Amino acid sequence: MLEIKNLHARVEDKEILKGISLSVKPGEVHAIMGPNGSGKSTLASVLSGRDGYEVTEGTVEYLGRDLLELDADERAREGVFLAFQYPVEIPGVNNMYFLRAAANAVRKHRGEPELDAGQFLKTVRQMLKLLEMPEALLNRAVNVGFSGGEKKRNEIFQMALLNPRLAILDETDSGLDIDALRQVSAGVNKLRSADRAFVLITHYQRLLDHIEPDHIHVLAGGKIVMSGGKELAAELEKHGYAMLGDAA
Amino acid sequence: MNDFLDMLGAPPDDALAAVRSAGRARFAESGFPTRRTEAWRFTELRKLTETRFGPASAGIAGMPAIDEIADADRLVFINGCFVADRSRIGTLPKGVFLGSFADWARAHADEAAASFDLAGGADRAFLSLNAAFATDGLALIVPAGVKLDRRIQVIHIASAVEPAASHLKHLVRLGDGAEAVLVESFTGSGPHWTNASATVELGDDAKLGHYKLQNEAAEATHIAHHAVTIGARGHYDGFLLTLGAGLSRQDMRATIAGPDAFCGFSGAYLLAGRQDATMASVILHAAPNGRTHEVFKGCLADRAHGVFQGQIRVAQAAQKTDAYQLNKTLLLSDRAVMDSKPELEIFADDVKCSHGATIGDLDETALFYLRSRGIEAEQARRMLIEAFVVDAVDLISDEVVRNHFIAAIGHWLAARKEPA
Repeated sequence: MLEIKNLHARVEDKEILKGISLSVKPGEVHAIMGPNGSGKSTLASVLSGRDGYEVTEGTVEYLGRDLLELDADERAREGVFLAFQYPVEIPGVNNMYFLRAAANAVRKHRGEPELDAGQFLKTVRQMLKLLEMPEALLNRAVNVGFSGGEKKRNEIFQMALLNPRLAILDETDSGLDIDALRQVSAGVNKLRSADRAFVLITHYQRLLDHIEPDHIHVLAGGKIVMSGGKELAAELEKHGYAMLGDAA
Repeated sequence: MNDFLDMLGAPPDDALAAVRSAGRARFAESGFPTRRTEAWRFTELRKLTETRFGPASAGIAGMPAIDEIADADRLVFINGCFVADRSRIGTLPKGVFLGSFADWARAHADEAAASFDLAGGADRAFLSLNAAFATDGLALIVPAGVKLDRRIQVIHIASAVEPAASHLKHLVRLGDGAEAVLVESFTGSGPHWTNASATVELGDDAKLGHYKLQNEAAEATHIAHHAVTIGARGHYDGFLLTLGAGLSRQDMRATIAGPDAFCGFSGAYLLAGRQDATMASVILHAAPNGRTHEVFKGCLADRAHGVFQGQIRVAQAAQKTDAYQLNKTLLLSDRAVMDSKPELEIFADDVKCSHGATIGDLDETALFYLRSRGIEAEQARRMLIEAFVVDAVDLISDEVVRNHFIAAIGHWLAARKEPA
């Protein structure tokens, strides 16, 4: 589903990704861990098409297409979803209005009929139930006045609504207390399926106590320095990123 | 200046001859304001002063579609003249006059004459011209204690093929405790110049919602002046939505004349191409315990130029005044220019006054967030612009009018193709 080959990227003059290769198949959950400044969030930004990141070498193929050729909104319509580390507050834009605009943009692209306000409300209510989210979140401006946990849950809610093929979660666990972490993780687990893949970017192992990955990669200095199964998380927890030694 | 006067044609032949000649004389003395006149320094008038405007014709070919407001009495003016057969006025409470200013003036010549501003001076040049040439306009006279339960919609259609001018005079007088909601819209086509003047008087405890949509043609010029006086505990809720005209200027002179009164004057502006719009307000607190709430938000694209000059004056007697003023502008292009000049002049010592002004770009982070959810860049931009200005429109207390104006903004945004 996602084939990253020798990806190099920079922000302004600074090279941050220095040759990343990663292969993600449908149904898989990959965790990317690493210390601060290792390039984790840059990888998420490059994959989602954020401005200001320049790919200098390498390729990213998504469902057989060159992902880097697509604009951020095209990527989203093609089924790539990024859950933000810092979800953006947008005063004046009603959350419900925003969600419907997003859902209809994606539906239109897939050749599905767009939903009117009534039909959309029905869909949304089902989804709220599935994720055990309060309806009150929908009637506020996007992320404005949301607690840290509410913002992250709103991200997962958007993911559920847009039904992506590839979901990238950028430090979704950061700033969450244990209850919020549980709720968010439960949401992700409900959305796991055979044709959807996840890339979880995280600094801490604790997210992986709740969402069990198939593969773990350790990113350091802009490269993947170690890959393994879920047992790698426990080792990292025990020894810290110091165990990477010179590789970091 | 006499050339300019002659071009505009003969003054209306009515009972206001003294006003007409005084207006002509005042204008001949003062001429137009220049950029050395402080209140006009950001408004480039050359496009107007160098155009040879004839008098506007009384009728137009073809009637444009009218965007009706539900449950309203409707008055239609074409090129400054009341058109009775396009208007629809229901049964009114006893003592209320709603109709043509010219009709009302025939029976109330002295009062009508007194409602014109003949003080003269360059910064009142357009009022002097208005006194000299005003053909017609709205008269709304509501006696004390009468609350109008239907909204009043006044539709101005201005149309010209060659440059032509029409001059409108409105008089709105609400007696003590009277209430009304007035919605004005200006539309049209071609190089027409509207020069409108409104005198608004609110008695004690009177309440007026006064909402204006200026959506004239791209080649049009729109100059308007509102003079508002608010009595004790009176409530004036004013809003100006500026979408149209190549050159426009709205002046607001509001006076809080009695204690415990409220003056709301807010607005939104969306300008593109080479549109040039000025919103200039002077709100005078002359009595204690008054409140002013003024929020103007807008967005400028292409080579548009916007001006906000907001002055709040608090006289020594106006203790416990609470005044709030805010102007925020989004610039969508490097070549768009906004001049924002908030001004507080305070002579009382126990007051709460605040003002702020910001000029900025569209929030790129918010834009990326919307796009990362599949929303196309153009739609995402529209959503953010709409959210930015609707924040001001939300201050309109009448829900029907609020939705009407939000729809007008939606149409403006939908019609505009954002250059990528």
